[in-house]
Formats: sequence, C-alpha cells, structure tokens
Amino acid sequence: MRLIFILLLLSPIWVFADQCSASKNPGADCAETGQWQFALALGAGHRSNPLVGGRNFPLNLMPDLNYYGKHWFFDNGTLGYSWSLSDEVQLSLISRLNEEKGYFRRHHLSNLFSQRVSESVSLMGPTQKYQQPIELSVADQAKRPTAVDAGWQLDWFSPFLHWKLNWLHDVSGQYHGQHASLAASHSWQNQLGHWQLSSAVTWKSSQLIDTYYALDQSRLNELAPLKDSWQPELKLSWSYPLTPDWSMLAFYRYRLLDDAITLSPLVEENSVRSWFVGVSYQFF
Amino acid sequence: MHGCTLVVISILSLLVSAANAATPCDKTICWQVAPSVCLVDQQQRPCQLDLSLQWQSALPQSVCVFLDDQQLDCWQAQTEGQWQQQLQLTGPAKLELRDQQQVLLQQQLTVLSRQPERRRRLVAPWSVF
Repeated sequence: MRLIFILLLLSPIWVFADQCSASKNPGADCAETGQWQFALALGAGHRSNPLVGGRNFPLNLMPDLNYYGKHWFFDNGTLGYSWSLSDEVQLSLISRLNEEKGYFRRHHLSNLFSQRVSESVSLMGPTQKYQQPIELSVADQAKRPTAVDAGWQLDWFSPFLHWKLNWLHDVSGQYHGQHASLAASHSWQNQLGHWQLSSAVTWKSSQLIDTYYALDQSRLNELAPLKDSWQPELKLSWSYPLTPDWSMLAFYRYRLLDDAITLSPLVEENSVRSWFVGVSYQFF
Repeated sequence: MHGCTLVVISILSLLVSAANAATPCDKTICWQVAPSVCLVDQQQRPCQLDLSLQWQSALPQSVCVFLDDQQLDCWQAQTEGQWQQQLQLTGPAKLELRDQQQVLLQQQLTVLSRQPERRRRLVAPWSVF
C-alpha cells in the first residue's frame, strides 16, 4: 500500500514542463546568474508540528533568498557548487542545516505529554519497568542537536519533469546518519497563474530518527532503537503575478510520516502539513 | 540592471569606434574595426555580426586577417586594404592582422546578450521553513 502511494506520488506525468527560457517569464523556478534575489511573502499559514505538545510553526512572513553564480549557489539555506554534466543534468555538492531540529524549537511540553509518554512506552516494551511512569527531563527532551548535512544532488531537467535525487550525510558528528530523497516536480503556466506540482519520497536513516525522536540519551539503552523512516510528500504551489514585483502566492504540502517515526513516544501525528496564502514582494 | 549595462557598453563601444575612425593613423600600420560588440537576443545563441575593417600602412605590407586562427583574407604588398563580411560568432573572438612573422594588430570581438543568463533553481522556492 505504501509502495503504491509512493509510486502514485512520483508519477505526475499528466502535465507538461516548460523550460527555463530567457524569452519566457521565468517565474520563481529560474534565477539570474550573478545576482542576489530576495523576496518576502506576507500572509497566513503554518507548518504543523507532529510532536506531542508541539506547536505549529506560523508561516506569516517568509523569505525567499537565492544567489546563483556560474557554479556556486545559495538558495534558501542550501549552499552548493554545481557541475553541468549535460544541458539537462547537473551534479551539485550541497550543504545545509538538518531540518529535524525545527520541530523541537516549537515544542511545548505539558503534563499531558508526560502521561502520554508513560503510556506509549508501556506499549513498546515487554518488561515490567516500562509500565512504571518514566520520569522525563523536560529540558533533555527539548534538546536536540543542530546538525549540518552535506552530500550530493543530481538534477535532471527532463522535457516533462524536474527530477531531483539527493543524498546527505551528517558532517557535524551530531547524529551520525544520513538521509536521501527522490523528487519530481513540474511547473506550468496558464491564465490562472504559475503552478508547480512536486512529489518526493525521503528516506531517513535509523541513526537520524533515533537521535531526534527517541527519548533522551540516557534512555537509549533501555528502549529498542527506532528504525529508518520513509516519508513521501506532495506539494502544490501557485503564484499569480499582480505587478512585476507583487504576486499572490499559495502552497500546500503534505508529508506522511511512517510507522518508524510515529512509534516514537514523542510523535503523535502521522503527517506534517504546511500551507500558506498571501502576497509576495520581490525586492531585488 | 543588465539592460542599463548593455546600453552603456554599446554606447562606449560606438564612441570608441567613432574615435578610432576619426583618429589619424600615427603608427606604421593602423586599422579600424567596427563593430567590435555583437548583440544577441539570448545567451548561447550564435550572433550575426556585419564586420567591416580597414587598414592602412606607411609601407607596403603583405598581411592576412585572422579570426581565432582562421584566415579570412590576405593582401600582398599593399599599403591599405578593406574587408567586409557577415560573421557568425558563438562567443568572444580575437581578430588579428598578421604578417608572416608576427601579429601586427589585434582586436577583441565581444558577444553580449540582451537577456541576462539564467539558471534553473536547484532548491524549491519559499522552502526556508
């Protein structure tokens, strides 16, 4: 069932891709080389937080910052160096902060949380000690490392889809794991604006999942380690230019969290949902 | 921004060409090459350049004009010569007037695009959070 869902997500072939042609309105998919581009979006939205007691991350003000040189680029927190293998294929060495800690920044621990953890843990372990309430250190649960990832990304701009395959590894020695993703996206324009439909499936190693979603470090030896996780997602974006600088903007993203991560007593939702509706202004 | 740069470069190029044409030749051999900048609609597209050159020498010369080592034309024991033809440039090129031993004159030909070069973004827009 999971495989069918993933395959369905990766097959949006009913739409046609356009090229990053200088003669057309390039939209947000293209960048002028040698120039910083910065835009701000103002509106309503949030990213849900799947953690127990986790507060949604508000999306009211969003930046979009990028710089592309001939080889170097910085795009929304990702630093990279690209080589063109052909007109359609680019290989990039990339680095960025791991996104997992973001959920814990908006983590509000409550009494309900403590109760739930003791219940969840009692279901996981067969031994008697799990049935006793576990004393949790609130501060320890909120502490998750800030990790820097680096790895490779392969982009293939096929006539219909933009395929993206990346593999990133923890180079900061924080979680000693890795993650990889395969994504396909497609952009098109019509009278209603500029659209982008993208789907992806991300694999996260057990070391990553265990570091961020297991209980605090002192309990690692008491509980079975969490397994690696597969997380498919789907995103639909829309923008409509009002003037050369102002645009309307909206998107919705749904990421499914599989059993490997929802088994964690820290996680209570099996998805992460993001949405935003607003206007954006291109400063430069 | 790119448009302004192009306009400024084009104007400067025209001024330099005009200055060259008006400047009397005070060397052994001189030439006037125009235009030296080729404008193309899009990056990576071939650029058509209607090039004309004139050279003058105080003494008779046997010279050839080359575009990036490709011979375009030659003159034998002449004190002046002119050449005009349409060239197709795919990038910057070097125009040279040579005798049998050395390069006597050199002019760089530049290709500029009216549109700035663009790259596909490799990270999704609005993906900071």
